Amino acid sequence: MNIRYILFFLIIFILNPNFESQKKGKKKEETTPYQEYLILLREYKKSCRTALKPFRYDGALTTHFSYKDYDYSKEVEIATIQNQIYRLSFNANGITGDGIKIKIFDKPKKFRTRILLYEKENVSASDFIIETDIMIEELKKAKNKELENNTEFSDEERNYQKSIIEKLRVKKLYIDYVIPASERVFEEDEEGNEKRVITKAAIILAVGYSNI
Amino acid sequence: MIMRKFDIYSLLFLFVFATFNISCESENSETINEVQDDSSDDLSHSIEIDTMDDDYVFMPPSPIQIASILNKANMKYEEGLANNISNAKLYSTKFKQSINFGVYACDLAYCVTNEKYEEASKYLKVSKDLAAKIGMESIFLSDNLVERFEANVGNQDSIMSILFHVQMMTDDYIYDNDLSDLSVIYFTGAWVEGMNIGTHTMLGNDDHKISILLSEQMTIARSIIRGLRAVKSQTEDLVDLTDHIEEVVNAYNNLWSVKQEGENIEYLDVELKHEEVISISEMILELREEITL
Repeated sequence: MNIRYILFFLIIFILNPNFESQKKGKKKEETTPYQEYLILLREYKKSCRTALKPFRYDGALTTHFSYKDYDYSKEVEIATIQNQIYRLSFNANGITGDGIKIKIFDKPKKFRTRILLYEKENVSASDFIIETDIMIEELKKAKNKELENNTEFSDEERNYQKSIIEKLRVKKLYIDYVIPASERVFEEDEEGNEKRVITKAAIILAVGYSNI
Repeated sequence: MIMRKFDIYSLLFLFVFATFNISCESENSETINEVQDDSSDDLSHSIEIDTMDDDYVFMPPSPIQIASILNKANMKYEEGLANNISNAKLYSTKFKQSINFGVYACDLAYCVTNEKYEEASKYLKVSKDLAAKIGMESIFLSDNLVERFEANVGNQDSIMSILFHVQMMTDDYIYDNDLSDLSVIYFTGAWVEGMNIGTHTMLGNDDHKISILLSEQMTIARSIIRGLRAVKSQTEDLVDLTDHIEEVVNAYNNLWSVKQEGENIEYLDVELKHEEVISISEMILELREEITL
């Protein structure tokens, strides 16, 4: 009788962790809102890549960010190594909060004299494409202006510089995502603890090049 | 009677023990739940740490693009230029496997863009083997890639679209698993291989326009160095490689044809003199040997 009881409880005892692990397994299957968001981003990435057509796919990058109580920027460098037109496809559907600013430069942040080649404000919940031909024009415009302002050049030198400017192309692009400041928001959980609310967002960039 | 009492005590003991065990388990699960709840909260109420919080990211071009530069320069396919497949068994460290995964990716694209499908098929298989060693096998297992590739041999468009598919899957895998360090090393391999193939062709060719290839690829060398220096685990192999690439870049920047362009070098293609090509080529070939042998 004694042994039977002991065996009975031992069986319950042994089975118990299995029940628990089954419960845990079930929990794992549930998708959290954050995971759902990541799945959604994957879908956005697909359509971002599709928007590259008829350009050829070169790469894609998802930039995650959270709003802080000050403005800040994140920089993405891309190499446009072929003397071809590149298409940049942006998908900002992962931005549900305040719109961000996209600025594209010819040089990285540390250069104060870098040239702004493209700018778009208040980007959120949308998608769009741009191509590098307009940026090359901006670069040439800025370089020509620099040349006009420089009075030290002789006419001969000026003509030579002009011919050089005509040949210029963009080999690298620096894309700055300027994330606007957002007020700190706190909220209390069920136990009365104060927690800072962090709003996250993401922007997807796909790059393609002309194959012609 | 004593036995019966003992029975009851045993039962009680086991009951208490089993109950205690259950409560411990449930306490653990609650703790996990709390953590999970944080992440499973509404998006705007998450306190999850943003793991991709770098303020600067370099997005390298794909190995396919590197191979397509070679192809557009009308460089003919040369047998024996690509890394020998049998070398794959020499790569025993993760670093060597990762960097040569990039080398073979470039070789694969080089073969495909030149319609050398039999060779391409071999490079696809060796890439798959190396991918398995660095934990990226799933890329090649999905959609029966190797079988599809073999079934489409001869159909350039289909083969290219399979190659682009592999590229996208690789990009996604690297992103999903936060493997940006691996991505830098892998891309460096593809870059060195592109330079190696280009260099060999330039040495046997006086066409100055082909030397533009070198300047196109050198454009990204500084970014590669920056990326390699930022890799978290700085092994001896990695430091040596980065230093070696830096030497090549410095030598390139000191070439007369490069120097004379001044500030505009950032925006211009440079045609190198043949002797300049020779001097820089030797360094590139050494660099390539360092990673493949």
